[in-house]
Amino acid sequence: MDKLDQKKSVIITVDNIKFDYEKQSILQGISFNLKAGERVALLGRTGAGKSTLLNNLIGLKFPQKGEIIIDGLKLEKKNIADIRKNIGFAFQNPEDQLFMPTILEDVMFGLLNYKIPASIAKEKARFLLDKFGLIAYENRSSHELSGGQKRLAALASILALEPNILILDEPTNGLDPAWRKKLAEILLNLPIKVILIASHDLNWVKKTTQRALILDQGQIQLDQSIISLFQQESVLESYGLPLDW
Amino acid sequence: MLKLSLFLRLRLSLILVISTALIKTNNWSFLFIYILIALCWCIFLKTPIKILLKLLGAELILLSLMALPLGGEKAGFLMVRSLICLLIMNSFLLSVPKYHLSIALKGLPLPKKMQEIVILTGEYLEILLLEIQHMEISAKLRSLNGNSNWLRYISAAMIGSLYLRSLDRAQRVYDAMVIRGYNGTFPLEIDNNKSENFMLIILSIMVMSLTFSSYKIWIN
Amino acid sequence: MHIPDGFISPPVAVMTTVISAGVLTLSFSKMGKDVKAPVIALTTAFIFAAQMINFPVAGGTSGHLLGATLAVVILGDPWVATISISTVLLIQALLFADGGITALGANIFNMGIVGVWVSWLLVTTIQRLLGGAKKRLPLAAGITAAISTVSAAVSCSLLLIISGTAPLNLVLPAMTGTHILIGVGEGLITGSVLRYLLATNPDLLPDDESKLDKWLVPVIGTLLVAGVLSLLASSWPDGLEKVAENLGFIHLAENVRVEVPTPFADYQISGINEQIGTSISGVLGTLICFGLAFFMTKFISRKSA
Ligand SMILES: Nc1ncnc2c1ncn2[C@@H]1O[C@H](COP(=O)(O)OP(=O)(O)O)[C@@H](O)[C@H]1O
Ligand SMILES: [Mg+2]
Repeated sequence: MDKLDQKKSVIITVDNIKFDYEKQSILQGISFNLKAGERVALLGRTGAGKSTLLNNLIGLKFPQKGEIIIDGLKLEKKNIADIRKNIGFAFQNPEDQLFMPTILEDVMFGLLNYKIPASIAKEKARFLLDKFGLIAYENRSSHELSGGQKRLAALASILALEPNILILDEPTNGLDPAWRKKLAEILLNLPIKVILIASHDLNWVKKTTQRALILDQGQIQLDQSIISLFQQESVLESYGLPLDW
Repeated sequence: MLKLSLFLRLRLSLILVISTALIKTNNWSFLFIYILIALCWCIFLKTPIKILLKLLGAELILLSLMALPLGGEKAGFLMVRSLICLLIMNSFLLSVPKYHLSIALKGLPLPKKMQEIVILTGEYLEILLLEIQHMEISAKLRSLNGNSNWLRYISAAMIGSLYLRSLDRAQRVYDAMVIRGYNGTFPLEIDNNKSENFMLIILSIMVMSLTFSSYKIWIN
Repeated sequence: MHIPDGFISPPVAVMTTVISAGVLTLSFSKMGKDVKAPVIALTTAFIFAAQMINFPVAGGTSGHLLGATLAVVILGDPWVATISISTVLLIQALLFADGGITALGANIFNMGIVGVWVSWLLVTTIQRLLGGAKKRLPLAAGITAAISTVSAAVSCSLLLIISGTAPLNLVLPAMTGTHILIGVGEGLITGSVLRYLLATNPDLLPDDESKLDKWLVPVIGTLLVAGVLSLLASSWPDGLEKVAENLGFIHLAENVRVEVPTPFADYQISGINEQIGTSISGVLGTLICFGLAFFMTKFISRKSA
């Protein structure tokens, strides 16, 4: 019984995946599990392959080897639409995620795609924009927003769909300290099963996650609790993650 | 003052332009009516006159290159008629805040598929134009004697890499849309204001009959 | 080449609008199912942005890319290219007051339909004529771009003439003359952009075409040359002198002028003004030549291969 429970609570299984770009091997056998209730940081130097790994997790790229199972479904072409319904994914560059004439429409985009009535979608979108301090900009174009505001608008457009699983690629880039704090509070209060965050923002990650994976040389080099990781400054430094920089 | 919505302004401008462009050639009296209408439009929209004049001046050179060889009254008429159209359209454009042009595109009466492409194009135009500016600046910064060498950089490599970058971006935008449930139909919610539509229909009937009467179909 | 408002007559405006709307509707139904809207939109935005880059032509004037051939090659589908170029023109007319609203149909007709389809007909034909290898694509596209630009200009002049806006002997040589120069620029840019793409991302471009059968090479070569010459001949009812004189290229013109034998050389379409007849038959001759060449490369040699 105990064992079954444990099995059930695994939300994401990554089993020995390998991914190459044409000229370069990026992921060379990556395995890990993420369980319900976990908030996990994916750390690693620039170019380590964090974004590539996240793209593999939501089927934007397919690993050449290995398999990924999410919520009991194997990640493959025929399951992809079902799997993505439960995942919120924030791109490293928020501009890729804002493509409608106004940010209100950007936030409504996903809701309308899933056939939520326009009036309800609008109400929800405005609620989220308010939460992210953007309500004054609802009818503006994303080009009029600052880098940080774009980031927040992109996050709002993802959270609108109330995903079970949240995957964020460098979510604090471009945010000021006040918003880094606010974003942490928002994320910690979400009713979400699993959060995976790729980041270099060590201090922020320390406050928002419990477990860290370090990606380097195409492999997960380290998988341990955030607290113990932060006691090993030299280890962090050796993976290109010096503290206080 | 009466404030018209962006869409209404766009549609009204389009109707005015179309009806002006279709006035019978050399029917000056009707042209004058439209000059008055255009001026009212331009005052109503509070167009900044200085910028407007600059824009029209530049256009005038082009128009006269096209029309003047024809000579005589006809050339004059064609030029004035075109200028009125430009006056109307530019007044509208100058009344729209910079980034709201792609919002205005939403109000176009276009088929759905076309509208989707037009809107997405409008969105990304902004970014690509900025990209060109950046490339231009960085090319200038890297070249020794500034401006003159810039021409060498505009060459193939610049346009080519612009294309590569846009393609990359297109893929990522598509991915972002798919992740949020896009399956080929673009959800667009357009406010349809009934009283505005009614006003629009009445006004278009009015100006169109004005234009028709320039052909003196009913007179004589 | 953007016709402003008020320069074409209402019947021409209506006719071209109807034709263009029809072709666009057809394009949407014919384009490949897996073409993604953002990819069309961003290619369109790219063409638009590339048009903003000016290059010097001659005597202080500058030209810019029109992009029909480039669009056809990188999109690989004439239907999508028509959609793309039409979108560029629509946005230019609406948001930049460049090209008239009532002339939008006409401008789409010239650049989005004539420009695009001439490009589509010619580009693979010329590539195969040149041996078919992928590395010949930039050259083939360059030549195509020049010809399609001139074709679009001729189509534009014809619309102005039919509208009664401008007399034939004025507009046709002037438009064609300048667009031959612009066409050369267009060809150079299109060719070198594709050469750049070939060097950096060859996968983005279409693959090798098969080589033409030996006996087809001279036939198609002759057809294409005849097509181009009849296009030029039809545009010069009064000879090139006028433009050439204006542009100071009189000596060049002397050397270029040739007696051209075309099937339509002495043919007048009855009922129309004599000079229009000449140029329309020139255009028809061109279309027939290009069409034949396209047909032969596409079908005859494939069967025999
Ligand atoms: N589209 C691509 N084509 C080829 N190589 C790529 C592509 N995207 C990223 N890379 C390479 O893959 C490596 C990992 O990139 P990425 O996953 O973005 O790293 P990170 O997010 O950790 O900074 C980098 O060395 C980068 O150069
Ligand atoms: Mg990254």
